[in-house]
Amino acid sequence: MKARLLYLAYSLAVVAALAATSIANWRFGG
Amino acid sequence: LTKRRLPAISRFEIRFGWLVLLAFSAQLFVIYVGTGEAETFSRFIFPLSYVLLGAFVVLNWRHAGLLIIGVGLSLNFLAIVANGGLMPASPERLVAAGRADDLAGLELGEPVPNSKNVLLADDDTHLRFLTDRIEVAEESPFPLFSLGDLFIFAGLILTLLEILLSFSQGASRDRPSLT
Repeated sequence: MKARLLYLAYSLAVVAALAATSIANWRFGG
Repeated sequence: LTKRRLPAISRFEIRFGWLVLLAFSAQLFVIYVGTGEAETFSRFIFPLSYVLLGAFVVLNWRHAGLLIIGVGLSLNFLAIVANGGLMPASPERLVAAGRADDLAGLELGEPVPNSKNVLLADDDTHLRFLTDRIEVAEESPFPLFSLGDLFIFAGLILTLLEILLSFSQGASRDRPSLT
């Protein structure tokens, strides 16, 4: 179960980074 | 006795996730740390980060959600490459999206601080229909977005559903059978 939770966290982190990097205009910071 | 299965890794398998993390880090570096006067460097890093993301999508083509994100990032990539390495936004669009503050002291053709945008007049923008033209609420983290971004949002929702579904199915497989 722990291994799967870790993999879930990794998958979500990769997908979040993919979205933030792909989206043309994420307003980073101020 | 009940046989206990070894915990299986979720069926949603992501390969080469480091490509995404590398692309993300490169963009954060350019946006936050900046490259000083070497603006050309920024205009090289942004398209390159999209190439890394494209490679990731191709290597994970079995996931429909990621493919849809791939369509969106390809559209954004086209707009960025066609306009010199950054996503164009016109002064009018930035003002309408509540980002008038960003325009202070900025000349046409200059990068907009803390963003992936370059300030360009509509007439000087190539592939205008693919650029940041859709305005939403001022307080949104995405006050202005592009057609490609819509695909990315849709692909993101599908991918999250796929991940969570795969995870919950894996969890139910792990429960001891009652029969």
